Amino acid sequence: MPPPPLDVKNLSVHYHLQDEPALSAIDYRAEAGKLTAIIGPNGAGKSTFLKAVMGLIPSTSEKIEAFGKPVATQKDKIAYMPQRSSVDWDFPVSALDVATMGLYGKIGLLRPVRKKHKDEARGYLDQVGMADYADRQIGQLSGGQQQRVFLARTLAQNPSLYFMDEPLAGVDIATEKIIISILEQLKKDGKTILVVHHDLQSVGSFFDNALLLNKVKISEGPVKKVLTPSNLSIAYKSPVIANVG
Amino acid sequence: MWDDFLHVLMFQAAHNTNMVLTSTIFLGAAGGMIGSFIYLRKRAMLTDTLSHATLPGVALGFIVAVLLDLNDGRHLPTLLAGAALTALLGGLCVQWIKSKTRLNEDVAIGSVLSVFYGGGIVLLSAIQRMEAGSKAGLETFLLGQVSGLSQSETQLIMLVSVVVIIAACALFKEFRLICFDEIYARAGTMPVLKLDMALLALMIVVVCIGLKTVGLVLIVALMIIPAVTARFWTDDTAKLVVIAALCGALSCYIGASLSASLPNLPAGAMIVLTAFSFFTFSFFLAPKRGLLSSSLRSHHA
Repeated sequence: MPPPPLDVKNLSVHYHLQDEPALSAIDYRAEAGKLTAIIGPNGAGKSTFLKAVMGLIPSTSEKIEAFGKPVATQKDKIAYMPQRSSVDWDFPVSALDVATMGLYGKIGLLRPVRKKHKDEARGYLDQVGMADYADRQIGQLSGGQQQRVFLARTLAQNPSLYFMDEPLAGVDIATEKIIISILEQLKKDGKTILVVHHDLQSVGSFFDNALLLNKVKISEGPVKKVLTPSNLSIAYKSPVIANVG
Repeated sequence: MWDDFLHVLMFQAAHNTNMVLTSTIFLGAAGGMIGSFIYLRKRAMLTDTLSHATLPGVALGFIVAVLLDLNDGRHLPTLLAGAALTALLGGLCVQWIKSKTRLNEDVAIGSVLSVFYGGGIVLLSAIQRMEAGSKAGLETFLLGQVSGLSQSETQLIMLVSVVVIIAACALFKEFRLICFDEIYARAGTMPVLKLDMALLALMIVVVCIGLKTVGLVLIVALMIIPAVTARFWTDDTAKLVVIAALCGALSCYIGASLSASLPNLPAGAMIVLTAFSFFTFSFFLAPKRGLLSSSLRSHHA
């Protein structure tokens, strides 16, 4: 059996100057070719989990491996889509420039962006319905359009494993539809996708698996098995009903 | 007076003045380019701190050059090496204070700036009391001067400026990415820390070669003002860098000419004021982002 796309053992994160750990002793194996939602209440450590796995914040662990090797050596096979709030929207770049950034790894250090790269990036913008906005400065797009441009950048990396931090947060219906259909297409292509998701109501209709967190791992597996009333009341510390689809 | 100015501007002054003017134009272009990335990376205040932190290095470099009997102490490569060394030390201090204490970056930046600058001033007055060395002119490192550069010094400034410009072009795509989205860059395969170090190193190099003509107090303005001026005219990173380079070069050309033709006006101050006049023009009259056009637009809306 090939090694899992993501294999995490005993991962803990302790932020500087905070008493409580943000995440404790998380064990998790991602199932290949599945669309998995990372869910849990605000402050549960969902984004922290992805950031720690990517090595963006300090953490302790016995193992963080992708495809059987340390994540740090596999970054060309992984794409990370940060939360939309993480950039300066007044920055002088166009939607096309941002999508092209997904190709930088392939272009290589010190090598210039050529026309063929821009044409390729334009293709990814087209996939998310943003080709007509290619030359627009990034701040002049709506929130949903910005999110689609970020998705185009992620697609341009053409990875085997996707980490997405709240791609569906605060987007319009059109954007949600486009993002969901692309996630489904990626799944058909055999990609493994982990998505931080905040909306319990839609988990069942969009995702195969779920990882339920609140500082510790509460449950993982198929959505129906994870989103039980007892698991949810442990995670949310109050009764919650989810639509398991 | 006006004739003198035109004379310098048309490169009809003495050969040495022409050489200094040319080297300053190269410096302005390099400063505008690196300054664009400094501005986009939001490192303007760090740049100001590091340029002030060059002062003790200049003084120490002078003392070393005197001890080694190099050109009466006024040996530019030694002075610049000292300047780069203490600027780097200042940068490390900022980083150390930030990571090892509970103090914020602005506290770290402010204290390193004043302590290093204060140390430099003390060293300068100690040098004034030294027997050896020709210390006259060392204080021009504060505000800059267009006269007094030798031929080899102007050549050094031009050569280094060209190297900086080439490096900035080669690293354009990498610098743009770390400035725009550092988190995404760190999640990818790019060596973000090394690129940040490269940007810092290029910035220190520009500060050092600008010490004699622009001076360490005002060099930050030569990097930042052209970049923010350029921002008024474009929404494209590449165009921003080119416009900033042109604005930096033009500011140096006009400012240094003014300083060379009028008595007792430090070059650094004239260059910065020239750059500021471009900024003011752009601030009011730039087509899309200028105050006039945006107030007209909000009036119509």
